[in-house]
Amino acid sequence: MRKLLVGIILIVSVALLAACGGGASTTPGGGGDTASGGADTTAIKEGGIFRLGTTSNPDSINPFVGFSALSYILWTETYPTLVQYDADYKIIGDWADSWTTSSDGKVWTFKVKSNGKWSDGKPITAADAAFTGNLVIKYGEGPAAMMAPFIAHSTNFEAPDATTLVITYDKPVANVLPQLQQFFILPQHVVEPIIGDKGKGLKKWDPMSAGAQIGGGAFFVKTFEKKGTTIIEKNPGYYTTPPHVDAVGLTVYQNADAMLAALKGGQLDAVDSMPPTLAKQWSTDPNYTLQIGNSSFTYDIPINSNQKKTNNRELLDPLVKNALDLAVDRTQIIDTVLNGYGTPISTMLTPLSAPYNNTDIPVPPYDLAAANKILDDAGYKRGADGIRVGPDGSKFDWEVITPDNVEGIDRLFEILKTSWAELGINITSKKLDSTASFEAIGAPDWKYLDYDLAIWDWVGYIDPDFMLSVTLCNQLGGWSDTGYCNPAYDKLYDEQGVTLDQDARKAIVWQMQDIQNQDHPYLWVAQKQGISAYSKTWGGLSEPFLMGMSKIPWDIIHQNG
Amino acid sequence: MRAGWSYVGRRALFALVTVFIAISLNFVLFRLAPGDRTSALRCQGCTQEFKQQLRAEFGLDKSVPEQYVIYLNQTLHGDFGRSFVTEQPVISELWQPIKNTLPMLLLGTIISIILGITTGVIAAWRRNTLADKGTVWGGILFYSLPTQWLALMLILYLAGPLHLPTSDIADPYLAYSNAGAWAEFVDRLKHMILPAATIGLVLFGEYTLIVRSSMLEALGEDYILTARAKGLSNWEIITKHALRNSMLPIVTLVFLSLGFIFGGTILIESVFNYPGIGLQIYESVGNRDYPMLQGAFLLLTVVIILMNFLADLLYFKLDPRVTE
Repeated sequence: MRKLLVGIILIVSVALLAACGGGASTTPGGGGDTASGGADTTAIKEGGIFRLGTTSNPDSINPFVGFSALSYILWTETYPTLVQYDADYKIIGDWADSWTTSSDGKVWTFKVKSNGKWSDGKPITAADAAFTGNLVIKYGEGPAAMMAPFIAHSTNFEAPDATTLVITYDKPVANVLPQLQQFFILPQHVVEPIIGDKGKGLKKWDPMSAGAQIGGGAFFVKTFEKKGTTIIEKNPGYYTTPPHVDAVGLTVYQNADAMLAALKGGQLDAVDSMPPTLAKQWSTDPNYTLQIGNSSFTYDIPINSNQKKTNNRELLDPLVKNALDLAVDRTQIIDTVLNGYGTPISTMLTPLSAPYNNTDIPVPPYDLAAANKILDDAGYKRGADGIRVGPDGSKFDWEVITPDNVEGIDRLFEILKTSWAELGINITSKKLDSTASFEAIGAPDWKYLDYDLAIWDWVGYIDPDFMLSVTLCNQLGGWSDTGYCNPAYDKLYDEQGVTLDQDARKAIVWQMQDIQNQDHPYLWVAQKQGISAYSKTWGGLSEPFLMGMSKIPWDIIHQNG
Repeated sequence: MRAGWSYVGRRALFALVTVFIAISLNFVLFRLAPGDRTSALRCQGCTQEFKQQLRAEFGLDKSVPEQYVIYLNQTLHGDFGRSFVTEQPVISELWQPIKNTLPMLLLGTIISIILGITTGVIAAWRRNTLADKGTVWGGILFYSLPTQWLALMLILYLAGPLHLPTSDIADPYLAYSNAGAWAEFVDRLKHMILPAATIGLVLFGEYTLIVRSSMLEALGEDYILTARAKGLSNWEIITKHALRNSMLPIVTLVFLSLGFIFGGTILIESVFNYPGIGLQIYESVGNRDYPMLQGAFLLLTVVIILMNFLADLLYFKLDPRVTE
């Protein structure tokens, strides 16, 4: 999803926690390593408040309304989920202890823990999960649309007893568990009274109306501040190992400078992300540990691939796209924009989605000579001004939409401009805010007729389903920022969605990436490493975690004794 | 007396007409920006049909003239609608940011007035000396600096050494330390200092110039010569005679500035993540949250017009000759 616009944080921040068994590394390219390395043997001091800084804003505490990254972090920490990801990005049980599937793959039966309590003391039972699921099914095309995708194709939730949940799907779904990882179970006794006529009450619901949220995760939201510090306090009724800390504060900053100044001044214990341009100077500070790890943040160049595009139709030519791909200087972009903290990529799926990322698709070399030859052989001659001209007389003079909320986008654009000028291509930047950028890409009226190219970012999930879906035909006017529509691709998407065998699903997903590699709705540029920092007064930060994509392991994080 | 009431009446009518024009402009301007609230919506279930449904819920599917009539009708009834983002009433969403901004704004204004009057008096008293040139040029320099840049400089170079917070309005963890009211007050002040200092530094220059000009005029009057002849000290001459008679333009300038400062907090609050009306406006623009923007700008408009109106009344009170 687009950073800042979609709910889930895809800042897979190995920032606070190093990958297991990693050696010390605070230099670019050292993926998933911690500065300390090895198991944490520091003494544990119970209690305290962990103060985390972030530049993500929560937009709402209501899961029927919000979709920002920080909102998803809060829900992940405060509402029960059936499953979560572990440190190796594998699905494990969270509130669910175990699960079985029927032979046709359509019925999933979960056994859930019996000891959980909401923060108001009432027990968490399978009835809460059944209520939430059926509520979302009923209003999934209306007020509950934000939660509906995570239980897509489900038809019924049932709780035959307090610790058994049965979910029925209308077809076998390949990614049930990854989707349920973001399905937040709500307290029936709180939500049921506010549903209102046709579910209209769901979006007007204020979960803080009782003074604090009624949460059922490791924490509950004690104070919620959209533009300040949200504090989540330990839930005494948590159904598994409780956190060492008493509370966590998540403070929003509008810019990284203010956030890092607060870390330096002792007002924070950790920050969830750091601009690559500042990482090196922080790596030498003895009071802080810099964490560099995997992230699913990628820079990409969407190309308008709508066959009905009106102007600059040379951009629809696969040969032109191939040439452009060969003229993207990924090395310089990584060195300049990411200060070395990144790796070049060739597909929409990063190694975090392994084994689904197609490793057979090579990263294109930076080869201007080869790119020029492709364009020359294709008949795109240079005009008197050195700019190539298409057969219809249109110049290779394109507008690139550059959203103002993407870090490093201006430098990236300048590098691209310089490289592509060598091909006889001129590009100009059209700077817009993210809302206007989406409008411009879909203009007019989501027909994708006008725009040429853009530069943007994606932050993908671990399960490949979401990233594969953004180029579907039914995403025109939704997620699509390329105007791309290929029925053959869509057919494969549907197929992988119901292929339960992982190897078979992998084969389909690899084939889908091959199609994308031929059609080039995107040029994939680089994957950014996640960079974060934390004060050395805290320990237990030795396992990777995925901010918003999985629960933070609070059973490990602690103040040092 | 009749002339006085006629003056007040004319100013009041002018204020009302201005408010109406501002309300209408508020409506039109935000809709000129490309996109609306549903444009920014990205979720797996956010299909075209879902967005259409949402647009209908927000009233965005109606024609612009229809929306305008509904908006006017609601505004006249005191109904400012619900935020597109939070679905909560605009009034309740704006109330806290306003309460947050006001103290910071007042502190910043006080800083700018104190700095401005001090430097203006120094400049006038020490006319054509280095002190005069230094204070005037210093004021102009700060006045011309980009506000957000100055704010960032204060964060980078002052916040760390002085251990001043760079975000929010209060330490959210004070409640966990059983701190008393005084500790809370000091904490609030600490959070306000940098944003207020930014306001103070950016604005004091205009007070410097006004005070300097007024003081020079006053210092040239005969009664000042009389005061010197009577043997009054420089301090008494400045504070009891010259400055008092120079205050008229300063007081009106303060009222006129307050309205604009209120709107100018957007940049400062954005940099400091200070959860006031400025930051709320900044975020609402990005979210195309029309009801919030309309409500906030209506409030700003009313404040500016009210301050202008009060300035006019005050001027009339201090110098009744203005009605002639």
